[in-house]
Amino acid sequence: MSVSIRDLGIVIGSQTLVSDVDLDIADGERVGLIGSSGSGKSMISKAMLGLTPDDAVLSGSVNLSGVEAVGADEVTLADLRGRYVGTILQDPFSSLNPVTTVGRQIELPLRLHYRLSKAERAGRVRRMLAKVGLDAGLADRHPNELSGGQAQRAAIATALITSPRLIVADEPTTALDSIAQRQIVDLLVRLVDDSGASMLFITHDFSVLARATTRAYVLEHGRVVESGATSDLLAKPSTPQAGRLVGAARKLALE
Amino acid sequence: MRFLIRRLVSFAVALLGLSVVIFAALRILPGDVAVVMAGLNSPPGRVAQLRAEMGLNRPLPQQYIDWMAGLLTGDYGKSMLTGQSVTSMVVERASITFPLIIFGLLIASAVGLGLGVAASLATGNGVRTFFRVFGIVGGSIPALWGGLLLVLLFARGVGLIGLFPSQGFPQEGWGSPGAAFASLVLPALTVGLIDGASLMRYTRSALADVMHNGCMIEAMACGYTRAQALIHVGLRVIVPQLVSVAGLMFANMVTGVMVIENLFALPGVGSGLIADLGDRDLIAVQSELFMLAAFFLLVGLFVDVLHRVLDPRLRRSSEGRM
Repeated sequence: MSVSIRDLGIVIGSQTLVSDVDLDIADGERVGLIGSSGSGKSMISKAMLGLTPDDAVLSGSVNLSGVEAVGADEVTLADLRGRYVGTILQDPFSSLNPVTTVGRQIELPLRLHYRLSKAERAGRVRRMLAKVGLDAGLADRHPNELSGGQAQRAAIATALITSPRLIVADEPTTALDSIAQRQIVDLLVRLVDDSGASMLFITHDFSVLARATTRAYVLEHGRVVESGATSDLLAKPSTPQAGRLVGAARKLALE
Repeated sequence: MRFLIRRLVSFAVALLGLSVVIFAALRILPGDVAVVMAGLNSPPGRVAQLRAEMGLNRPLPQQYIDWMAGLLTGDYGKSMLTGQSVTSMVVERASITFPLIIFGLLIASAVGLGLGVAASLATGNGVRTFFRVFGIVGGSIPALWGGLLLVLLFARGVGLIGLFPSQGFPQEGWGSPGAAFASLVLPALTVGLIDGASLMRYTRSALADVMHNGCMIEAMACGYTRAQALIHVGLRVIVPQLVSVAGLMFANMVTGVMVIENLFALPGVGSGLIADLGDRDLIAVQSELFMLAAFFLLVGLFVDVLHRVLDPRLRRSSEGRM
């Protein structure tokens, strides 16, 4: 799925959170969106999914393969979500439903968008669990019985169960330790490439961005300040804002 | 399983403790049934004779042991005034009180959950204000005043629209189901609407807390609309909390309907207990209070177990400790 964002603006009350953002993702491309906390990254992903707060005022355009998300009615957006756009959130223990089993959570997009028998759904869940490296027995467990890495793998399985055409990963490694971070990024990249989907990977960590994406946008105070190939941004950032983020990533890597 | 055994043991201990408290409290009260039966101006000899006949002159520990031995064999004793079995008295009264409570709880749940969800989904300022005012005003109305208002509006004979009876219960009881049901409509509406308003406020508040949880955003990311996510995921997440609230509400209604039973002249458990207490019918009162206490504790036990079943997080943390 291709994404074309033009002049996107998001205002809540008197506060402008995002302004004049242009962003493109081609079919099958993995694109990063990096910025410090509060720079507006997650708000852009929410605008793409129609999940901005009720009092947010959006302007501009978010085009998802011909479907305009800004101003679209809720049913249209809900039909896109889960079916064509898979989402992975930051904290799996918060995002997975605490009172349902992992298997029920993973099959939710299938139940909402496709008419499949219980056995067909169970079969798909089993195959998806194997793909993300989880034991089939975990389907009957609850999220609180999983480790952080296992829970994020379950969240990835939920996002990918319908083979969506676009994955929005909103800081999916932030809540994990460094070993689990690398494993999750590698897994996500492999699964996204295998499925041919596009991906928007949101992070504030350049070292993670380098593994996950080929092209990236740097965001500061709700504006895109630099964009280009991720390797170029890492090697020689041309703006002070990108330079600061790269410097911080290098410092963390050395520590 | 260990949790259940631990909970059952604490249930038994609490029940035993309550039996002592009830027995002791009723002996501290001034006056006794012998005075009531003999009359205020009767000679002391007659009162003493009656006390001896009813076993009230025995040592207190002996009276307590005899009472407990009876309870253990299912014999709750006999009314000192009427000689009627306490069990049959309570069963007869409960056949009015419990349907009233269940009916009231159903109304409260329908009103509380329905309006709670509607209030959470409301976007207009006017609608939000309506729900807020309903919650505050409805939950603050004293039961007696609310009941009188419903009588003035819907009672046959005196109401603006005479739909339901407002006094008494049919002589033939549930043998005449239509009349019995009709006589419970206004009392059940009184408790149901008042408790429903409180439940609405609680539901709205719990849903507002859960609305910004990651699991709600995840549910919408999977394809639910906001309203669907609220109903299918939000409500399910808060069900364990609602069960606790409903359990408390259920237990509170048992004593709360005393006022309602008096207002609508229903011969239920509450009004019967008040009458027996006035008559100093010790055996009847202490057995009735014991049954009420056992019922409260049973509701608490049931809610605790149900809470574990509905919230897997509690099961895990409990297992982890053991």
